[in-house]
Amino acid sequence: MKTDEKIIERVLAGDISKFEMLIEKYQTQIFYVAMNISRNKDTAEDIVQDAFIKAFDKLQTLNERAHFFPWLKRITINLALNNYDKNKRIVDVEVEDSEVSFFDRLPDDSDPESIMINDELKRYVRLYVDALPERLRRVIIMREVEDLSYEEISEILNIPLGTVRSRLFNARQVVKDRLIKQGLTDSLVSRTAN
Amino acid sequence: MSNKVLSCGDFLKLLNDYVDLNVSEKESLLIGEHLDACDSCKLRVTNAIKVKKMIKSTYGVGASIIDVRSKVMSKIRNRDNVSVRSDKNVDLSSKIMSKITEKRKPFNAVKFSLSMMENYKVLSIAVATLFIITATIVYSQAESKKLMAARSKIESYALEHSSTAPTDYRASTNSIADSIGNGITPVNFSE
Ligand SMILES: [Zn+2]
Repeated sequence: MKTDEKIIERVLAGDISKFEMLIEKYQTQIFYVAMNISRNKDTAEDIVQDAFIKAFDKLQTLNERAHFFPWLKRITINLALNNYDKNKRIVDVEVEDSEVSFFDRLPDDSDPESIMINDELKRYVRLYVDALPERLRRVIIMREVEDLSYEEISEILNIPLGTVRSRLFNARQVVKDRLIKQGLTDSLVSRTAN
Repeated sequence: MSNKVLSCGDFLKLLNDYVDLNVSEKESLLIGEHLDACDSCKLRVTNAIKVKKMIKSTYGVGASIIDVRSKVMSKIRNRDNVSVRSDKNVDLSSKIMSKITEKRKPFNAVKFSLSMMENYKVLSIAVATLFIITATIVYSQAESKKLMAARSKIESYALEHSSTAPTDYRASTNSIADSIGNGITPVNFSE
């Protein structure tokens, strides 16, 4: 398989058909990045297209060609955020109470790598994360899902580092509390740091 | 942060940074000491990492559900901009390339013989089917001839012995019929 650097080199040399290889390689990941912010499949697909076209147009400005993917991800996040602000739909997700204690079904294993997450648990996690105020939701998605650093989040969202920290703290706290309410027995964990 | 041992409150302030691997080496040492001694905070770390993983796994990449390749590529190619001329050159070369590869295909020997085999397969299936049908008809005709012969044998046997009227003739004809084949009802001669 060709490296991104080699593909970009060819594209910049005029063989634009090679750009298709980059689309094929990254479209799925980029789609999820867009989807997690826009929360709409059709919007996300449009964002993915726009992101690739923008990346194609700006390809010459990319200094570190090996870092094509993180760069493309940034473009996608920015497009998704702009798009979201434009449309600003209020998605009202109701948090239902359930007697199901899905936390019990997690293997009581000290190694978090071995956690198998079933579909029902995912449904709850999505429910609670999506129910967060948008300013908190964005930060937690960027941190946990897109693996962006506090600094990168601060830069993309144009908010101070301290705000990233506090939003992330609050977002995690809320999600954790909801999950604990659903059946995690140790209430110690739900206490706040302050 | 002082050089002293961390309290649970001190640790909780560092929990997020700790699970995000944002702590200094010095902080990391202090945290390690605290976690060795404090099961509650150890559990807090476990749960914080659990929640992180759950979110990552929930929103992470699953199966591919979109394919924007052709859309993006045609948008890139169809725009009116400075690079249009070079785009067209590339387009042409790829068209030529695809034509060359297309031309090659019909002369592919393997493909050709495969298609012949495909024809042969159809023919051989037809022949086999015809054979099976014919064989079935011939066999069943022979079988029914056999049955008829057997039946007339039984009849003549029964007629020959009806005067002596053996008590077990019915049973004997039954067993003969059974040995010939199923479903043959022996004629009732007693009437
Ligand atoms: Zn502690």
